[in-house]
Amino acid sequence: MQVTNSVMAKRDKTPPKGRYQSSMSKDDSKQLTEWLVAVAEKRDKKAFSALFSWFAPKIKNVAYRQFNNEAQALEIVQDTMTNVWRKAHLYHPEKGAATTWIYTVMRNVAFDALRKIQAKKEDLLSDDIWPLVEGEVTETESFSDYLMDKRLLNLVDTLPDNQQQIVRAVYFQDMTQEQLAKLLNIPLGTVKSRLRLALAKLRQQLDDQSQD
Amino acid sequence: MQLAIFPLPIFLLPNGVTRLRIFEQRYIRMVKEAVQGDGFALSLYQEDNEFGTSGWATWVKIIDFETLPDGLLSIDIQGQSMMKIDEVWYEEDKLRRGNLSLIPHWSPEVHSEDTLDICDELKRVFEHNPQYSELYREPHFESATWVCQRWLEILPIENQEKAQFIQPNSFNQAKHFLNNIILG
Repeated sequence: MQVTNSVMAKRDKTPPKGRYQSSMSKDDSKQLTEWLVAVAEKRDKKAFSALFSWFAPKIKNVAYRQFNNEAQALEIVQDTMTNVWRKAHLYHPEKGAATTWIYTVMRNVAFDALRKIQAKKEDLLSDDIWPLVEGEVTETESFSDYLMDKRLLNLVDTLPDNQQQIVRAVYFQDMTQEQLAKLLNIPLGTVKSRLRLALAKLRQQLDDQSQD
Repeated sequence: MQLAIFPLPIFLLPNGVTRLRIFEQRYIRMVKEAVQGDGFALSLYQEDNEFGTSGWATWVKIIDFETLPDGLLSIDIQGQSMMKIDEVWYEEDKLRRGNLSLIPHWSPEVHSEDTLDICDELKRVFEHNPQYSELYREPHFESATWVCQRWLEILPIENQEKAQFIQPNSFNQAKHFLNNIILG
């Protein structure tokens, strides 16, 4: 998560000219890739912020054209950038440009939003939406599970009251299990089993207490 | 005490700091009022509750804010105290407001051998995560309470699990819990 000097320095520069033009210089492309990799590998929030500033207005424009609705366009921006944050580790620079990858994420979000609009007549809300959402956030590895992720996205999308807007703008502060493993210098499996055990012990303690 | 209530999936204890981005109109209003007045209440989002809030909240004050290049408002909030939510209602713009009362959290605790080890690991978290540590201008590593509170906030477990530790008498439980996870 350490911010490298190069990322910081570049971010502080005035944005390159032609930033909002469709053509992009090689330098821009390289910079975007660097940012995305920094997000993937270091959960670098400054790099993410830079990506957000770069892509948000573009995504908003495209989404506005598609949905003709400001709030919906903003939601697409939030959803897309949230997924970029969460799934950045699935991006491989050798497979293509950062821009292509992020626009693919956006397209999926837009498809989901369309589906959601069509399905809105049915009541999709269920009581356990939120626990699922939180469960997903802590279980980082399940993000690579497309089906789970899909389900999660749909569930988040059915949250009432635009609750998700701010939720997604926060980009959760918790560390990931991977980060904890790295910090403690133990395997991910050990972190998982320690968490499981500690929680089991805690529940046992609470049960004992309530029986007293 | 009457405060605006902001339900989020964020677990924050007294003295914890976190950064939020705000762009919904009602929450911008909340921030404006919070800066001039008594802060606001951060509540754990709960879908099955009528108002989407949990029964408790963290009373927070805004300690810093900034307008980001993308036009969003960024605020740093710091937990002041835990609170019980007695009553909630919606205002016209759907901002939640409620009557809340203060509840105590852990008393100040001095370090024991195991909390010192936990403290060392927290120091490493701070060293390796400048974006996290920059939120804390005055870290209180000397306080076992402070160290355990910060660890609970950042641990990758569900907020419902973390919520066990809002109980005023849960310090020892928290200490053992952290011990099991961090020191193995």
